[in-house]
Amino acid sequence: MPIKVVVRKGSYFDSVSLMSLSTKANQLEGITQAVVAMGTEMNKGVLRNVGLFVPEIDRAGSGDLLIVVAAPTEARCDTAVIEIEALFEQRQSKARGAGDARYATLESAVRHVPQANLVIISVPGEHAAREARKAIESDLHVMLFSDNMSIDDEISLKQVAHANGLLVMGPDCGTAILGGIGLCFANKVRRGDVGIVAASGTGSQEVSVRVHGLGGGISQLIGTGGRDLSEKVGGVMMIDAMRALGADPATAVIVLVSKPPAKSVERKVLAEIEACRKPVVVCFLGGSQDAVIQAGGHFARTTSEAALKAMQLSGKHEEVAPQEPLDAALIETVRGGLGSGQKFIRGLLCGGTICDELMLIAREKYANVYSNIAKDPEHRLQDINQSREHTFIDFGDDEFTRGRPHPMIDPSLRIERLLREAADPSVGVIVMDFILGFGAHEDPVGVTLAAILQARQIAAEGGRHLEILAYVLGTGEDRPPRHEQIGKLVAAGVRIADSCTHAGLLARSFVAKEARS
Amino acid sequence: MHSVFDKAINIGDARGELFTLASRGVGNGPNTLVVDGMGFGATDIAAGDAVNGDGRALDVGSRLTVLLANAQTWVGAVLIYPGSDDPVPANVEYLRGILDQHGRPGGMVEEGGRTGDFARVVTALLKDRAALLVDALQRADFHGAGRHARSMIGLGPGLTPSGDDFLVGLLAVLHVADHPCRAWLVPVAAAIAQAGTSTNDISFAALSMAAVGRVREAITALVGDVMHGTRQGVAEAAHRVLAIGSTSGTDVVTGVLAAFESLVSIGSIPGLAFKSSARR
Repeated sequence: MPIKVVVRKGSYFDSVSLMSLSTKANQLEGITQAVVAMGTEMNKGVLRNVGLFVPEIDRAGSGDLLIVVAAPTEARCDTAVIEIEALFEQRQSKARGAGDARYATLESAVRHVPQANLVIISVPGEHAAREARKAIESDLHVMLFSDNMSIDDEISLKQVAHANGLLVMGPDCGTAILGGIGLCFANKVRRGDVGIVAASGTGSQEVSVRVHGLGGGISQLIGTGGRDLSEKVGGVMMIDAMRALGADPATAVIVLVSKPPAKSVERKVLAEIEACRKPVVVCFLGGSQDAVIQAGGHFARTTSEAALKAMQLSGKHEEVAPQEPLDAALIETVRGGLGSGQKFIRGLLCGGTICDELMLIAREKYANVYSNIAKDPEHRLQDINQSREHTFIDFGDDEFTRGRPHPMIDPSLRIERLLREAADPSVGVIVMDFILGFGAHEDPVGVTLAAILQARQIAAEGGRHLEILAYVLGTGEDRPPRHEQIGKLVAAGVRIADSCTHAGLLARSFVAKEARS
Repeated sequence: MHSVFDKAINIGDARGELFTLASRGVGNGPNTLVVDGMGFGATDIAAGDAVNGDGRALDVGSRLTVLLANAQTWVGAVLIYPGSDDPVPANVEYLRGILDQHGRPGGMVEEGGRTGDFARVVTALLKDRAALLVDALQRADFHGAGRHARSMIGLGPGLTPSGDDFLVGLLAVLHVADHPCRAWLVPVAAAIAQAGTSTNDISFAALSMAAVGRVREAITALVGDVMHGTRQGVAEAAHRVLAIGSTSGTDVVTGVLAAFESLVSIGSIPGLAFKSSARR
């Protein structure tokens, strides 16, 4: 009987693969037997004993793989060998991974993708600086998704990057849109001529979707990381990003989004605004407008206002559309449904800037506003798990995300809190954000719906109506699309706000116990 | 770089000793560094890549850097043979039942149904030679035992041939401190020392380590549970070993059982006799 042998020199396959390949080889049509085994003397001895030995087998050593095929004809032997070799190749390709290539080191990736000019780094913070340094040395821009990097490392990296004309976005930078491509957490928005520089993830997302909603688009969205505007870091990346957008032909208007910078940094930013030839909208939440206006910038109190002004300045709106008055009838209806004791707002938020903006709007009317991220110690919650009067919780803050995924990915902590707040008879309205887009949960509303219904049930059993107000941050092009998520919330009896700003204004109006504000 | 698999890569030094980087889930073992996260199958690492290290990091062909700062040393448990045989006889019987029910055929365990001549003959040879080895050990025929042990090395299917895995299991038990038959180590270890190129580098590395009492943590745990543990402990430990490779785990368990069951010859565990694996 014809026998063919293939000796794969120094060829190591794991035992599971060898067994699988041997089984498949023996199932091939029209062969008598196939043996797949290491070329040890003992195995060769067995091949001799069972009549499957041919001289070529002696070429194999113990570290070589033997494929021996016996078939009724030479021709079938030849084709069977080809088929079995193909099985081996398939196995190896599967092990290497189909589709995109993966590179285990930065150096390897740089070598294989020479056209790349940006690295996204997401490794534990203590190692991120090392990788970022390697990237800058390779003349690459850096987006640092990693957090827990020392401020000294951040300063050092940004200084080197600045000297080399490179951007270091971060650390703790989760959002960017460059060349129309969303990076990490970002929304699918139209390309346009509004450029954003932000030390704020969800704040920049909110401005980008507001601009999209107004018919505009985004040229670039550059994140700087939350500490960039601190005194120590000095706003290096915000300034460099503003200059980059100033030189970018696709950008007509620049929008800055952040908490108010340190005083020394604010002076630098204002000087840059003055020097910039393009209009700059400044949305420093909680900041003051005078200095911005004096520098020739355009101050926006809220993210909605920032988007509106950007559209006006880019010529898309002839005038700033007056802020739509709140729906008075709606407000009366909701107030009428709440008991006299239901006085407080509880904001349960995934986005830090969203939490900030809602807090700001509430604080314009109420003094007793507390949060886990309040800068003022008097309004900072002593126990982040215990709400107090008007409370706004940022579940994305470090204290909630240590060792846990971000609430945009894992909503379980927020859901637990929702049910606790629902049982509090002093709560009139609960405000929640649902953030869509790349990197977010595949169905943020769906995964929370049961808890929303349960929360309303808990309140109902206590003889109360509980108003749940939601804001869905996203566009119709995100997956899932915004309208689909809104539809689910409406079906569950949830009130919908059109923007973060709108949510803040509605929430504070719902619980007001005097005449309409 | 000696060889690359999805869950492990092997590095050979100038003396030919192998060291393994394993992804989590493979478990601790001799000369093995367990690394966080990824498997290796989709990396660019290839046999022949240079590997350099400075104590702080291991650089593999400039394709992978392993940071060693937080590495923790694993020390295998030292097992001591129980003073009293309880619960050993019952646990050995129980382990035999697990092997009969869950052992994977193709190596030491016969394959049922349609099977080729090679597979059938290999299994028959493995069982015969294992029985001859144990018989020789029981009769203190160390010369014969060495010969039969040598005849098992390199025999059988798999990356680590079944005969090699059987010997690893056998050695794991014989190395237990205060084992009444520790002298049986001598001919088996000598056979391995003379094995030379009788088997491939990877299997030889495992055999060499087993010859000096160093085996994977899962195997040590099984031996420990048979000597001192509960039925549930034995079952859990057995399934962890059975899950190794394709037939490797089964072949190791067969070796473990052979060592325990052969103690009947010196009356250490009355009531047991070495049995070949049941036909499936």
